[in-house]
Amino acid sequence: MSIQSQTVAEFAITYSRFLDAEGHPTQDLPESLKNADTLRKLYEYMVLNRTFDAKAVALQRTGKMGTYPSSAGQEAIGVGVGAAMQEGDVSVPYYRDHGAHLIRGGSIEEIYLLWGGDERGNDYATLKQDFPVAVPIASQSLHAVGVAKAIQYRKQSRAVVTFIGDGGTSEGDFYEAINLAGVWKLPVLFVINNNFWAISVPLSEQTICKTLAQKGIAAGVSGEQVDGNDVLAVTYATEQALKRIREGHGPHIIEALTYRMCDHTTADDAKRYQPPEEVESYKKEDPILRLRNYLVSQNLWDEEQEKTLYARVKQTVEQAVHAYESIPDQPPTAIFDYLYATLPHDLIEQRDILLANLGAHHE
Amino acid sequence: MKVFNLPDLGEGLPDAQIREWHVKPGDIVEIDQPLVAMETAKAVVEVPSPWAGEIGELHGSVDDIIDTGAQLVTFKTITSTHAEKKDTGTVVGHIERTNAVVPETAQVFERTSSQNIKATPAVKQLAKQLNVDLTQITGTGPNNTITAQDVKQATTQVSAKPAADFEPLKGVRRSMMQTMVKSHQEIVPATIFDEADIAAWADNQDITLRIIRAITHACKIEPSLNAWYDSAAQARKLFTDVNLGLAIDSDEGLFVPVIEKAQNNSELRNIINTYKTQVKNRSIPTEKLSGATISLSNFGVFAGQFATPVVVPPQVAIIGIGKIKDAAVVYQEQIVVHKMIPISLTFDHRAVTGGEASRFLYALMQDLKEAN
Ligand SMILES: Cc1ncc(C[n+]2csc(CCOP(=O)(O)OP(=O)(O)O)c2C)c(N)n1
Ligand SMILES: [Mg+2]
Repeated sequence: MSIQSQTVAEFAITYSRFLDAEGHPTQDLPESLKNADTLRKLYEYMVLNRTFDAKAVALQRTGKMGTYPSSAGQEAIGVGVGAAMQEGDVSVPYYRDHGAHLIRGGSIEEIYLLWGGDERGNDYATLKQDFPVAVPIASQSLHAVGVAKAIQYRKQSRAVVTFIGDGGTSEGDFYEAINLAGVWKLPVLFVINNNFWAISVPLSEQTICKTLAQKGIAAGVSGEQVDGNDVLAVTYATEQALKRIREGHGPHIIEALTYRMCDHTTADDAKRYQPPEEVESYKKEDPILRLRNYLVSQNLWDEEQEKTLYARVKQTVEQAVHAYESIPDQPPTAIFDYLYATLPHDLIEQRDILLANLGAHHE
Repeated sequence: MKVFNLPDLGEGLPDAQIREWHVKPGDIVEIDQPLVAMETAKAVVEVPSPWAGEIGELHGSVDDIIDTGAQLVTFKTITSTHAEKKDTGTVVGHIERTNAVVPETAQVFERTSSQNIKATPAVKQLAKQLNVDLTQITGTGPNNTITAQDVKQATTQVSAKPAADFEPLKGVRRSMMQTMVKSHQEIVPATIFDEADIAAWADNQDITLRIIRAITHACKIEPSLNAWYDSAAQARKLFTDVNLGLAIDSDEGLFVPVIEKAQNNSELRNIINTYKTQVKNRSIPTEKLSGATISLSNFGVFAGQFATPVVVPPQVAIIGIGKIKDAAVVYQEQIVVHKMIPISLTFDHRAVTGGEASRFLYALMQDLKEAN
């Protein structure tokens, strides 16, 4: 017996890139990416990202900072997305998007402070509406939906961008967030950093989905895949998505394919589980190398500029380290001072005990 | 000279093992140049140089385990360094710092100020809402912490402010009130009365000691009155030792210190005297005020023959002794004058049967009638 049925819905996920691994264009670049200054800026921020990041690891290894999650090899995502965002947009990041923070005008010192255990790092000097880095996996997806609801409620033409890892997309929070964003048509972009690993869990053990972008289909949210090591692909896809989102067309998902070229954090040893040949194969996909090859091929970059850039970036990072290391500690009472608008009775008592102890210690 | 101590290379790691040195004494190193590969419980990590300068000494060789915080490398000279974190003060002035560790546990002080109250923040908050003075509450939680239940109970007990000419109950009188209320809510009391003829007594009998001896004798004959009753579990526990609660009156209220193992205690008189003095000058140790398995109240010092004394849970019985007096009694078919001790025995009828109570009373009186 043959049963009659019709296809009632069809779905597809597209993949795009502009530069291949060697930096050769795979297609014409859109107008917005033909501007030499724009291209150089993307390059410079990726170099800054990698340099400040390596320094953060060194600070942790010399006992000057706490656990730190590097974003080595994944700089094109943070930098590309951040470059495409407008000032009025809101970033709701997790811990591998520091590139976005930097290119949006945030400071390195803030990031060092945060991972040094100093909450003042979350009090951004400029990006007042951007969120602190989320460490609890996928919690940020829901926060982003909340922010997007507020923006929609105020009828503003702004977008929220939130980031999440491949592992994070297995969390209920993520599914709930994209579902609600779809139902309420919220102005939010979900950027997935698919670096193929969630600590030691490979993507193949995380999901049998062919893509992570397709997770949006079940929520009615559009999605696409881009080459996450091609900063141009990331930037362009984000620009287009944010434009639609700001115009009220609802949420979108960008899955950026990359690879974690580092330990999960400074408390991890990826050599114990990342196959060396896999790591090796991604070395030639490096996002920084790729853009430099393209810039050089277009005569937009030379050795001299490269040297100047690295010297400048080194100095910027050193200044940030200096600022981080010389910021005076907060008084011990600070642990009470940012929790409540009006400190509850019991905490006032505890604060007084602490003050009394400080006094006694001072004599 | 400057020493670089091994930092915590993970999250709370106690130590790390040297895998490979990348430098040797005399080497000139740059900031962030790899010094050594260290293996921790989780990872092999490259430890970079914190400073630029000349290496003086390496504190360990390959395979040595170095404790976190112990010396790793001594630098002979330092040519550059980042500013070390220092305490420089802020625009608002000097910043107070301390290395003193403020314990996170409940602060324990003498009970003199509100800080000494053992209650969780939630309970304190509740007390504030219900306007309950926590200093007036005796905690029933672990280690005498005040529970939410205690606070609620306090509000039901004090539902109004006393009128101007009323004085609120305080201290011992207040805790007497609480004990009595609890007893009244829980216990099902029944009382038996009788009189013991002590005409046969030899001279110089210590009345209190004789009564105590009689009680311990009765406990041996009928142990179900020397017991605790757990009303929540509906279970009883009989004791062989008689830990006798002895009610001692004071101006401020009733104290019931406990005489341990009263059944064979040669120090009884001394103990009683000590308790009396301690009650008088309020120096009785609190641990002496709990643990009674049965109680004695010698209430008839001035007047009063019979009473219905109140059993304090978890105990199940209390013996009340009234004023001894001469009475006309029938003795060997004659009406004679004998000294009589009036006895009132209250028992918790949930845990003790009437038969057990009367057997107990009989045994007590038999012992009391003995000449000595
Ligand atoms: C709710 C929650 N569960 C577990 C963790 C521990 N954890 C920290 S990072 C991580 C893996 C995240 O992997 P992925 O989402 O792929 O992001 P990546 O670190 O690869 O960028 C886990 C499980 C956490 N931080 N929060
Ligand atoms: Mg991942």
